[in-house]
Amino acid sequence: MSLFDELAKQYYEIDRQYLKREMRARSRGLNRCEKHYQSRRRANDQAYFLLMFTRLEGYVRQESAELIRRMKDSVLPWKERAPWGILPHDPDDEMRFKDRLALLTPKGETDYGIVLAYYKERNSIAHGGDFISPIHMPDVIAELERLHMVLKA
Amino acid sequence: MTDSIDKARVVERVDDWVRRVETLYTLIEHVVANVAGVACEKSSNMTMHEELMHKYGVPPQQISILDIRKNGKIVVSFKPVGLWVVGANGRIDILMKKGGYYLVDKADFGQPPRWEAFPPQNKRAGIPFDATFILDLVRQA
Repeated sequence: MSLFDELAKQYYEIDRQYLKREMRARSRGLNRCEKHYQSRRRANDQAYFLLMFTRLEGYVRQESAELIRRMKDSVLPWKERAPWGILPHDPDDEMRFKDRLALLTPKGETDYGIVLAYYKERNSIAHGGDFISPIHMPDVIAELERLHMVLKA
Repeated sequence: MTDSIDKARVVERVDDWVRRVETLYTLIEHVVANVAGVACEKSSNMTMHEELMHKYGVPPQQISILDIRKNGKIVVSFKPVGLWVVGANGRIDILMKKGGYYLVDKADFGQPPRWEAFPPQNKRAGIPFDATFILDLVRQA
């Protein structure tokens, strides 16, 4: 079972129900009701995207902290080990998410770009905004699962 | 991707999206044309005004919803959700009484569309959206 399975299952259960209700309203010509369920589905997308992304975010914090700890304690020559010594080694320590991510995957490459794009969406929602772009959840869930596998300390 | 994007590029993408949706509707209409008791209808419009359109001053665009009626009742609706979609080159929701599908174009911009339908379940692979799929949708509805 992956980190996201249970949330994905719940997301789809809710979306299926709203899809059915949106359709029922449309087939009966109930425009306001149709818009209501359309808007509920959008809110559900946002809520579950946020929940799933924050799980990846927590994972990136843990893995980056683990890498920092390991490098600090390594037998590398002092000059190579010293830069790691000034980085925070606790997942809850203050360090920009982008910097933590850059420790796990090269800056500017595809995976870095994908996580950053999701991070922008996450910030938009978390600060009371909307999606910068609508999200195709099956792809997002598959990508989050893949990223969880490849982003390692 | 928003790199090297300007107003002309946004307009080009919006026009391309409207064309792709219309071509898709034409395919659906063509496939169900000879099915007894079934008719297609473009009954209302959605207003498309996405983030990049706002940003580059591109006016809102009307985009139609396609309904399939069976014995006079709406049984399937195709509702365009958005063009700039994370993970796809546009998304349309297929609404049905039993649930529905997310229909997305998996092709890159400039390439022939590759529409795939995803059920609202935790499934990785999409189903090719072709005549067989359309006829099956109508049969299930």
